[in-house]
Amino acid sequence: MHRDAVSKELPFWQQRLPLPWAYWPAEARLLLSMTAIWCLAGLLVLGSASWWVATREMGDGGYYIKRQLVWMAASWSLMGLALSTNLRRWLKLAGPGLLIGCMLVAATLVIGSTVNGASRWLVIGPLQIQPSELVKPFVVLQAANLFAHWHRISTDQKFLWLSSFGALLLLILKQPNLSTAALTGILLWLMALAAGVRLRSLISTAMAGGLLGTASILINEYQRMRVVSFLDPWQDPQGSGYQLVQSLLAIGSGGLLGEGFGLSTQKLQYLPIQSTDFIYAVFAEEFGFVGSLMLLLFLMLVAFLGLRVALQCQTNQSRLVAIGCTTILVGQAILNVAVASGSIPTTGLPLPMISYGGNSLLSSLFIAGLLIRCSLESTGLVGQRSGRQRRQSIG
Amino acid sequence: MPALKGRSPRRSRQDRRRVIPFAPVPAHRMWWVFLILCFGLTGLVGRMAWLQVFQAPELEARARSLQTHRTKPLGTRRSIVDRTGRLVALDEERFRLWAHPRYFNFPGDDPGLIRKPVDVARKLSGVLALPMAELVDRLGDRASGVKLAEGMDPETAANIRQMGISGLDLEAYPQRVYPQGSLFANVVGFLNQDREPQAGMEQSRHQDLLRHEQARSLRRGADGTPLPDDLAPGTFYGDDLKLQLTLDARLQELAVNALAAQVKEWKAKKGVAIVMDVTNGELLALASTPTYDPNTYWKFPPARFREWSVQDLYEPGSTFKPINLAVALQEGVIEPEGKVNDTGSLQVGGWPISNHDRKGNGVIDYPTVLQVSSNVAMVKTMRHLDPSVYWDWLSRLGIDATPDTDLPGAVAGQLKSKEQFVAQPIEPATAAFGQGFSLTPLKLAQLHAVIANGGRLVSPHITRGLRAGEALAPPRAPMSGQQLLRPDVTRIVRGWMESVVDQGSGKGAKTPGYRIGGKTGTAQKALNGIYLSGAKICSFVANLPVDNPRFVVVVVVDEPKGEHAYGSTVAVPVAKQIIDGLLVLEKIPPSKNNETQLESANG
Repeated sequence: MHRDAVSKELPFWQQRLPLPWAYWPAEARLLLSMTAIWCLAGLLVLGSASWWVATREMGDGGYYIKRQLVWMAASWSLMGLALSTNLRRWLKLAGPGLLIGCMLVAATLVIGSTVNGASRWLVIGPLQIQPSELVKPFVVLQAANLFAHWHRISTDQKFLWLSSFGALLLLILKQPNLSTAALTGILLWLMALAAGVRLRSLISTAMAGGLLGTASILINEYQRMRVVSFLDPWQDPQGSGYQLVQSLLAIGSGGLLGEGFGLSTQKLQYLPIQSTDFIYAVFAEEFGFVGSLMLLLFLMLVAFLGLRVALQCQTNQSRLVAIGCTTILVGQAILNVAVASGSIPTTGLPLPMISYGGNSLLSSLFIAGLLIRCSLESTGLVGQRSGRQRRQSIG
Repeated sequence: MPALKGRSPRRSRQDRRRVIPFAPVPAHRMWWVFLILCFGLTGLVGRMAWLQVFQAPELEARARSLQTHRTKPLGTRRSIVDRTGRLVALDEERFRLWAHPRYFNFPGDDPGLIRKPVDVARKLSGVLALPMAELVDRLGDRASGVKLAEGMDPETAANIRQMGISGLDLEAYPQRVYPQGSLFANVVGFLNQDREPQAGMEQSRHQDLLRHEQARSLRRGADGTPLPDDLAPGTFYGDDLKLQLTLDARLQELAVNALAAQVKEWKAKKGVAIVMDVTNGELLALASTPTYDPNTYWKFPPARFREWSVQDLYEPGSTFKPINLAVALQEGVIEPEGKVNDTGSLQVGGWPISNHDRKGNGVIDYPTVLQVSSNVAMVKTMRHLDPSVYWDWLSRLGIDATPDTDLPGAVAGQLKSKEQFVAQPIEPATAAFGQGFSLTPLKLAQLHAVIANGGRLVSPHITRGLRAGEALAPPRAPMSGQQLLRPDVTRIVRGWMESVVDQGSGKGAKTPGYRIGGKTGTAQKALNGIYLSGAKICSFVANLPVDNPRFVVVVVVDEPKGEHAYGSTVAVPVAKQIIDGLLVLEKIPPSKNNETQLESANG
């Protein structure tokens, strides 16, 4: 209604918005601007981290940046789609999306391309698809479906979806990708916590998850080595502790104020995988403790805005989607920084919006779009009700 | 804001059967999630503060030590080149190959994998040309620090580096190489295994030969790219200076070969040949035999490492006669056209003195005195000179002074004290025919250069200086040296010396078309003041071309064995070969045009 009424007077850039900018809640405006800032800063950090390596290995300093820009455009389009599509539709798609995601993750185990002993990618033509990344938004949505009316849905429904989540976690663990599995598990647990599931079952689930993680570490040689080297990376700085030692050296040489943008030395091929998993180390070396503090405060602000969006949502589903999106974005960033700084013993997580990688970007910006959509729908001007009204007026 | 109720109601079994009322998600649980996230973020802030504030100095120091590449001076030395730029001594880069089996890993391997020594040995055996079993044996089961090869050339090292095997370390070190072998050993010397100079110019010019090197500390990327920040000025400065000799490898080789052949034929102890540019004192050849190969110095007796032509003294004998005559002319005590009565023998202070053949030659002029090398005539001639003045001249010529030269270990000659020389009539008498005092062959060359260059005492030397890059020193240094004799005096003596080659004992050095002056000598060897019977030193001194002398050639052969061992038979043939080579190499034009034409017409 509003849209039709005001669309002719609106400037061009607002005509495509699902809700006129003037009606956007402050949280949604802030989240959109902060996502844009996050992405731009991410491109700058990625440019600094990848230029040297790209020059050496690809012969073109802009190799990674150019591809990231293309992915960025696609991801922002996807975010636009997430923003302008009714949340109910996304929630309906969540179940099938999750099941397809499970199957694709299973497919990586069979026909996936293997890098450093982990098969995470499906190669389709020029595209490399990482199903464990792309499935994340659907995990959030389906978890919202499941937990929104936890006490009202039937046991077989609960069993079906909980076992789907369990299967997904096991498949991701099998890849092996302990960090994504851990992130997904933590996400589900936190969403259950947010949904008001009984603390007793939450604590027992957490213990079971902890046991599962421990078992995985004990069974898998490669994970055990990671944990051992995490405990004392300096024991074998040339071998298993190499990545962590290089990351710590980068972070430490940043000092209080940092070396300055572009002036990291550790990124000059000392630091491994410096444009994805350890991009935070490059950032910390260039911007120092001040920069790290700013990034962490920024993440805290994102979390706070997410919380406010969740509190304002009118339905249980959208409330859980909002808190779930916030958790996965901030939680993934926390895990990434924790890994880079040697606080927890896993690797293999991208830093949202900053690390190089199209799958991660698509997934992260889609999630950010869902979060903003929740905020928009909390106004009551778009979404469920307006959709129904429109259908009525059309019908 | 929707109304937010508290906890969801506890349910009983009965509750399930009926429709459960809509229960909004409790707001405080949202806050819990937020607080958990904040807890994580705060923890990370703490971790960052620990790493970037408290541990930063230590971590940064570690990072810098890893990123900074320090090069220590290898102790490389400058090259030595001859007169025309041929390499005489140079440092070649050699490599030692160290293996650290606990890091063995091939490119493309999983970073955690450690290859077995056998795999590495298989790859290396082809490149190193060593059997695989031997490499495996050397590697054994040691974890690191195994020296696999030494003295590897740069190509092999590059091949190994290209393999990119982790756990192999190439250590570069310089090795001194003498491409001319034994040719310059007597002059240049050598370095021992520890690169300490042991002889020759390597020792005497040690400081000049050390290349300017500095410890360099350079920050760089992991692939070795140097980073330009924090660099001290002059970090990349290096010199390519070379020490250039005045010696000519071609002439040197010719002289060594001629001399070695003659020394062998006459079973002599040793021999030396010197070619000196009389205008500036540059030595074109300083050949000595026997000598040694500096590349394999350990196979030779250490006695050969000293260059005797500048370190050992001998009594010059007849080759000194032209110098005496020049001194007498300079002092005006004899006339150029004067004559002297050679009686064959005479007594001086109770000592008998005679010619080598004990025969008199009657009244002869000075050219003839030199041609027949008459001792008696020389004694009678030099009697005209006051002994005190005579001694002053010998001293002024620098017999008892260390010559001003850059040759390592040059020593002063021996001359009796002035009191003894003046008081004992036998002293000036023996000095007249070159006995009773001693000098080095180098000093003799310098003194004959005085006659040849018109009276100047030039400094004999073998280095031209340090030169950068491919540049060579200017071909001729400006005229130098102290003027001792008048040019007209030296011209007269040169004419007399020419007659020695034309008609006298130096006939063997005669070369068609060229005017060559010379004087032979057959001196008795003395040990502790007693002349040894049968031990002779045969020598020959030549200067050429006589009309405008440029070179002096001195050949001295020590203790040739045989009945007819004289300067004319032992030393002159060597000098002749050297002169022939010298004329060609230095492109000296013939000066006796008429005679050449005549001879070619006759022939």
